[in-house]
Amino acid sequence: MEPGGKGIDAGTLRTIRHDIKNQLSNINLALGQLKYEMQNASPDQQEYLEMIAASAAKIDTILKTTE
Amino acid sequence: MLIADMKKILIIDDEVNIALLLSKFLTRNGFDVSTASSGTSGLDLLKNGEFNLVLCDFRLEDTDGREMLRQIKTHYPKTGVIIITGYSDIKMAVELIKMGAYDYITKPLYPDEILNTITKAMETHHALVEEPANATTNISHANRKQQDLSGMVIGTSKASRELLRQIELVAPTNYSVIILGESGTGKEEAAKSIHLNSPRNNHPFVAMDCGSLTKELAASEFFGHEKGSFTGAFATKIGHFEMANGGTLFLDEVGNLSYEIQAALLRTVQERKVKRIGSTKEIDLDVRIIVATNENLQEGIQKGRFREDLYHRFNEFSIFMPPLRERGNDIMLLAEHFLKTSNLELNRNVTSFSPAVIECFTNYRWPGNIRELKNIIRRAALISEGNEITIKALPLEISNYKTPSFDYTPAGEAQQETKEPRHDLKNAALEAEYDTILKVLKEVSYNKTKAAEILNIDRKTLYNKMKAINLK
Repeated sequence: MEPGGKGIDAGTLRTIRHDIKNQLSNINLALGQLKYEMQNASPDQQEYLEMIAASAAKIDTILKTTE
Repeated sequence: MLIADMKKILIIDDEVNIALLLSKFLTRNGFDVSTASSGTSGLDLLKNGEFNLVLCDFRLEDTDGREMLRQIKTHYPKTGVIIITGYSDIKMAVELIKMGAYDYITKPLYPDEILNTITKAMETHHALVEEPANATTNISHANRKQQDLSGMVIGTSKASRELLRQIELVAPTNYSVIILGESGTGKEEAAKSIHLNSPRNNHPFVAMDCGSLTKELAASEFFGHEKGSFTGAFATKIGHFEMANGGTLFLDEVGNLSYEIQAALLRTVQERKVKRIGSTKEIDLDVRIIVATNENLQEGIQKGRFREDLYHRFNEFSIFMPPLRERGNDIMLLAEHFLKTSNLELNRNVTSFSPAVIECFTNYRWPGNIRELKNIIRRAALISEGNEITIKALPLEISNYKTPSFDYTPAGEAQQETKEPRHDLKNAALEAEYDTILKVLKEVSYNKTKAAEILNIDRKTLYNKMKAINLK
């Protein structure tokens, strides 16, 4: 990859996508665990958790549209 | 007992956080989980302990999922494998499944999706791999290809010789086969031995229990779906037709399929092509179909529950599995066979049956057929104290069974003789559960969904209980 981010080749892009998905898995799984451990979360806390989940889902969608 | 039967899962992923979080999630869902961060350490763990399932990331630092799958399938064929990957590559998915992976999950991972896939894998894998191993290969017929048919059909009776002849006759052809017979007569084993003795034996044998399919799930189980094609379709799913491509698809309890699904099946079978739900691409199929039923399909046709055209498609050849009570001396041959397998499995050394047991076995009606015989022997081998199975080790319904015309003894009296006081509370509870479950299963002809309903537990609990008491 050249400095300045120009001309990323397909292979690199594929790897980046893969790595992002890996991190998304972490986020989803950690969210699941948090939700489980925070059985008494306040409505606000619950909403924040949902926001993180929604953003993670959005990132996944963005990745897909560029595939 | 329960801990020993808890399903053991090995997670292999070099991403430590994923391994940790997955392990927490699965542990809290009742699995016994170990983790490894490289292929090598994963294989080491496999060497030292039996796992029911391996969840393996495709990209590992020292190797990849394909190689891991190959190693696991070679050395631990009973262990199910699910590959996790960040690449959604259909070609690779199909290749992995043909190599024996149970499924393929694409990242990002969603907890519910994982749990769903694992639960299904545990159920199906159990049906696909453990059963035949117990039924046939443990003793001497370990060679899966040129399998000796007598390993499957044990017996010298006229009925079993005829069965053997029919299987030999139809196996090498491409005919669709209907296998008829009561519950527990060994229909799946027969289907499997047709497959193993056919030119397709290098390709998959995929078994599907149509009795437990909900209407909603049936289509995607058969035909697969693309990721996102409907709510809840988190990942691309390969249908059973596609999985069985090149090999044999076995549909058990086919009479239970809904009319709409029957129409879709007919189309697939006629056109020899399948389209995943949400996809426009047609995939060419070369699948031999074997179906089994314990219902009268003719009656289903007359009542409009089963499509006649589909019936004729399936019925290029039919095989009738004789009920156990009509197999004369085979009963004791089978009993001895199951005693040997139970000894191996339970690490016991019970060598014979008392004369009273032999008499009992010969007179009993065996409504649950071979499966019932097998279960009763496993149970008896487990609770017998000496090296002989005595009448005390049999459930009351069998030890008390009297040929109807001679039944003059009031049931209560007979019970007095056989029933010994049982002081071990654990055993008593286990036995009571065993008896109740078996009774209900019989009442509903081994339809597990119905049995779970009557027992007022969910299907998963029923499966776990059945496993805990060695009922299959």
